[in-house]
Order: sequence, then C-alpha cells, then structure tokens
Amino acid sequence: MDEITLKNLFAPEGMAALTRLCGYLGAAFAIGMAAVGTGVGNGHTADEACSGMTRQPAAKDSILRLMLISQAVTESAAIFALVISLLLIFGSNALPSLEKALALLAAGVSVGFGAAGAALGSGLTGANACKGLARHPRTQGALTVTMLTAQAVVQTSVVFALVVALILIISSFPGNSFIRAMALLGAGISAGFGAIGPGIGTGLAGSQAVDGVSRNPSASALLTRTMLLGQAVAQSTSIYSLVIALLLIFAI
Amino acid sequence: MIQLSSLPGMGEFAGRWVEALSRPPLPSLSRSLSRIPLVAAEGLEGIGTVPQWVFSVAGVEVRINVLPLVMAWLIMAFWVILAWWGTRRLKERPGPLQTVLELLVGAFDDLCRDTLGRRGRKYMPLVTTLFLFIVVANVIGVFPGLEEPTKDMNTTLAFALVVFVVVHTSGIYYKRSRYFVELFEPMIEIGGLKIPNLFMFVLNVVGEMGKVISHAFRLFGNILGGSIIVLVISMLTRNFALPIFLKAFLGLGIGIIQAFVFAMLALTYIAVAIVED
Repeated sequence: MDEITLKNLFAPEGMAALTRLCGYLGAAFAIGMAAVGTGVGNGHTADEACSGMTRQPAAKDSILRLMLISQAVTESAAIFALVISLLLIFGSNALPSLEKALALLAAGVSVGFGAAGAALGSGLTGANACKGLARHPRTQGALTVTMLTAQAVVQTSVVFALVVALILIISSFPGNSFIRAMALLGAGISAGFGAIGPGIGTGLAGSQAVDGVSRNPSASALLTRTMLLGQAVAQSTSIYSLVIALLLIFAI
Repeated sequence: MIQLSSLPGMGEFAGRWVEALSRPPLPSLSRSLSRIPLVAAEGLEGIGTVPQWVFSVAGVEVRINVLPLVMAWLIMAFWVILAWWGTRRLKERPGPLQTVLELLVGAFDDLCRDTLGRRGRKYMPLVTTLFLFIVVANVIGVFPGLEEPTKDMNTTLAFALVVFVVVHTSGIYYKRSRYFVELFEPMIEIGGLKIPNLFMFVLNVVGEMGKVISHAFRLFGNILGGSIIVLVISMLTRNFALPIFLKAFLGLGIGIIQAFVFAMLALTYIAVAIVED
C-alpha cells in the first residue's frame, strides 16, 4: 500500500486503503468515546460506594458486592464498543468502496457515542444504589433488582446503536456514490448521538428510583413501574434516531 | 495484518454469526444484507459454512441452525432431569438438591408476588423458566465443546417474542378496552375534552417494537461480545492465562447478570401491562 497517497486515496486504486483507514478511525471512535462514559460512570459508582462504607462500615461486604454488580453491567456498554472495535480492526474488507468505508466509520461513531451516554447513565444509577444501600442496608434485595432493571433499560439506547453498527459492518455497500456514503455516515451519527441523551436521562430516572426504594422499600413495585414508564418516554428519542438511521441505510 | 480467521474455530464462528444475523425478521432487511463472510477468506474455504440443516418444503428452502438447537435441547434435558431428580422424594427436612431448588423457586415466587400482587403466581413459571434456561445457556460456554445458544440471535429473538406475546395478550385480557385507550395516551386536552393523540399511538407502537429489539439484542450482544473478546484476546496473548479470567468474568459474571436482567425485564413489562393503579 506504499504507493497510496492522499492524492489517490479516493481514486479506485485507493479504495482498499480508504476502507481500512476508515475502519481504524471508527474503531478509535468506538472505544475512545465508550471509555469516556464508562470511566466516569464506574468512577461515580465507586465514589458513592466509598462514601457509603465510611457512613456504614458494617455493610461493607454488601456495598462492595452491589458496586461490582453495577460496574459489571455498566461495563457491558464498553464491551459492545470493544467488540465493534475488534471487528473493525480485524474484520475483512471483502468489497472495498467509498460507501463501505464511511459505513465502517459510521459503525464506530454509532456505538462509541451510544456507549458513552448509556454507561454514564447506568453509572449514575449504580452510584445512587450504593448510597441507598449504605443508608438502609436491609433493602439490599429490592435495591439490586430495581438497579438491574433500571440499568437494563438505560442500556437500550446503546443496544440500538449496536444494532445499527452491526448492520453497517455486515452489510455490503458496493457503490461509490458520495451521497449514499454520506447517508451511511449520517446513520451512524444519528444512532450514536441520539443515544447519548436517552442514556443519561434514563439513568437519572433510574438513580432517583433506586434512591426512592432505599427510602421506602414497600413502594418498590410502584416505583419500578413508574420509572419504567418514564424511561420509556425518555427512551423514545433514541427510537426516533434508530428509525432515522434505518431509513438512511435502507431508503436512501 | 492478523486475521481473526487464523484462530481455530473462528472461521466457522464468524460464518455462523453472519448466517444468523443475515436473516433478520424483516424481509426488506434480509434482502439488503449480503452473505459475504465477515472474515477474510484467504485460504480458509470453511468460512461461511455453518452446521445448518437444509431441506425444502413445497419448494421453499428451509435452513435450521443445528448447533443452538442441539444446545437448547441439552439445556432443557438438564433442567428436566434435575427437576425430576430433585422432586422425586420430597422431604420435610430437605436434602442439598431440594434446598437449592426450593431457594431458587422461592426467590422468584417472592419477586413475582412483590411485583404483580395476587396475579404473580400465574406468571411465575414463565419468568422462572426464562431465567433458568438462559442462565445455563449463558454459562454453558465455559465447558469445552459446548456453545451458548444465546450467541445465536434466533434464540434470543424467540424469547423476546414470547415475552411480547404474553405481555400484550395479558394486557388485553386484564384491561380490555382500556388497553387500547392507553395506546393513545397522553391525550390532547382541549377544554376538558380528551382527543386521542394519533401521533402518540404511532410512537407507542414503535416503542413496543423497540422493546422487543432491545430485549433480544441486549442478551445477544452481551454473550456474542463476550465470546468475540475471549477469542481475540486468546489470539493476542497466545492463550496464556488471561483468557481464563476473562471467560470467568464474561461467561459467569455477565452471563448470570444478563440472564437475571432478561427475566426481570420480562416481569416488569408484564407488570406495566397488567397492573392497574
């Protein structure tokens, strides 16, 4: 690939290099942005777990356990991004083209930004769960169940981003139309950026729900139901982004 | 350039995944998706060949992914035999197996009754079975030679569709006409008059579809992601030590949590559909 320069990168002979290059760039976007959200979210959970142990040292084992469970779930957003990165780096480019190149970049952007929002949101939920456990150690069961449900819903947005990224990676886009290539990039941006807000927003809803469960455990069923309804509305914007992303991929 | 396919087993793995993914439920999607193997085919003719059972019924080609099917039946056999063995001679003072089974079933019984009230008993078998099946399905990969059936999207989508059907039929059964009215909420209010909001209807229906997608893909993505990461790290570290711990974290840790999450989401979806405030 030595003879490929910036001048002929967009020419037919440079397409293989361009596709590979965009794949690498996408991989960097995916894991880089995911690391931002996951790092902050996990750190926030650990922060609250530490201050909770200060307040309630007797509950240190259960707080530690809850923190690790929460961090494992938060981590799964980063796992999605890591998988997409690995596929982008090691996967083959059987049919290099301008459209395929931008599709690979879009896949990385999609899952990277999506993971950032979702991980931050589930970190917020986990943080308040640790805080609540320190406040009221006997609510452990209800707290864990509510926290896991909330975090699962928070991750819906990154799951949508993952769906878009997988479609972009495994589909074949043989054409070289510039407009279609940009539409594919737009699909990735739509799915990725659209997942940031719902991820953080549903995380806020979840964090207050687990806070409520720790204050009033008898209302946990009502709280979970209300939380889920609110999160469904907050989540609807990420569904719009998913619809737009699929339209950009399949209708343009 | 290191190729994923240089790893033993990776070729058929990627092929199976492509095959499984390239037949999504929507026909318009499947037309657009290609059958190009994900991994470079340099010197690896085996890529894209998956253990599929192909036959034709009335001229229509039918393909069945054999491996997830066999694993699913293995897991079912495991639970049937365990349940039969554990409940063969029930005792007042239970032995170890009976204690474990009682703890499992009792915990889920409490959860369902806490969430659904007096209707909890009706849904307890479904939720418990989902958890029991998926938890074994997710951790089965730590045994050599066995593969997680939840790594195949067909399996997870089937579970999500089962939950979807149960949620909505129970919603219609318990709420009758109010169930359909709720699809139009929040309504537009003009001078005390409530007008059904058609825009919200579309959004609510799309949201319900989104629940199925996210429910299925959350499990699928976590389990598939775990196995891809273990394979790649195994290759990069030449199978030295690290993959074992990764497998423990991704297979046992994430696998058990995701199985519980799947069952809990099914339970909360049911609760939202049937519980009236």
